[in-house]
Amino acid sequence: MAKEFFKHNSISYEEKDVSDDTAREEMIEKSNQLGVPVIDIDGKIIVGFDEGKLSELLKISSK
Amino acid sequence: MYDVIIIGGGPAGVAAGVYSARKKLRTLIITESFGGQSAVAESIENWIGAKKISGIEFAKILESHIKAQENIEVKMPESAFNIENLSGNFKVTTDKNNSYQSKTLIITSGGRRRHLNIPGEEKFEGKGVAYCSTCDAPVFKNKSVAVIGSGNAGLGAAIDLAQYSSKVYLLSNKNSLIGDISIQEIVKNSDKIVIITNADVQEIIGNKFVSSLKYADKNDNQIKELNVEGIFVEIGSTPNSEFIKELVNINQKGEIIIDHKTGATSHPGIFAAGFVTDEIYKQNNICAGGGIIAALSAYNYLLNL
Repeated sequence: MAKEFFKHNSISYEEKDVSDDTAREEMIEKSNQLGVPVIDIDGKIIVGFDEGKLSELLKISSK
Repeated sequence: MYDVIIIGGGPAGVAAGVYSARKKLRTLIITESFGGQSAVAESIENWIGAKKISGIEFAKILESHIKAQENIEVKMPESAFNIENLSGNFKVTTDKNNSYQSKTLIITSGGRRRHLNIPGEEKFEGKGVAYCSTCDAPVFKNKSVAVIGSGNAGLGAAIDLAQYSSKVYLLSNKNSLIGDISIQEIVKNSDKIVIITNADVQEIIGNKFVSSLKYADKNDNQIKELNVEGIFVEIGSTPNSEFIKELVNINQKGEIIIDHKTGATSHPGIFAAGFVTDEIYKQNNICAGGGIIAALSAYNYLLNL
């Protein structure tokens, strides 16, 4: 859902698969938990797909 | 003042919304998200008209069908938490501190996953305790995990997890597995899945993250411990009826009791459909049908006001 949101709003992103140990470690370090997705926007960490928060941080006006 | 407020955007709510809008009723739908409980499903193969569709796709087509209608407003993500009867009209208050008024309500608030309600479960939610194997299985690659629950959801979760985990313990508090026989066969034939029946999970243990669980073995009354880093709770769902239970009759399971011919609840002007009701067969297609019945009944109710 997050990827759809980014695509729809023409936001480029880097995707990391958490079945890879390095990515998993990074996720744990940044968010202190194991739920996905974890989205890092310039250091701000969001756990789960929260359209409102993402729109706010990316300065996207809601439809 | 709306003619209809629909609470919940799963198949029941969306069906109600499409029909209500097309009857030119001034309609509002309030929901956290579209798609309902199936939005996280890997694949849906029994939504009539679609051979195979992912949960995400399903949520998208429901959302786009609603948004294609006139006469309907959408408030999302938003969640109704209180309903009041104000001299015949209804006032809905939400978690965003908004309130909306309507002449009728259609409750399609669905259900949520049941929790074990044992020590450690809440503490470790998101830290090893999970409720969606489709979402979270890859996080547990090469780790040991446990699935609690042996209905189709539990069996399905065990199979999903076996693709990633080094070991999957499938725990059931019953004597035997309860899901479909064909799926049981797949589970029994997997060399990564260990089935433990007559197990009553007591506690979830860990430090920063889950490290083990304790269960009571009903065969010998011993408490045993399993080292697992992930615990998937698959023990069914419970209806989201708390916010409305003062106004409508609900049964022992918390389901809203409806007249199955009309979708009417015990309270005039309030209709309900889908998983939150005492509908026997909880299936997406049936929820949609129920939503339509509720919308048409709301329309007739409004004509007679």
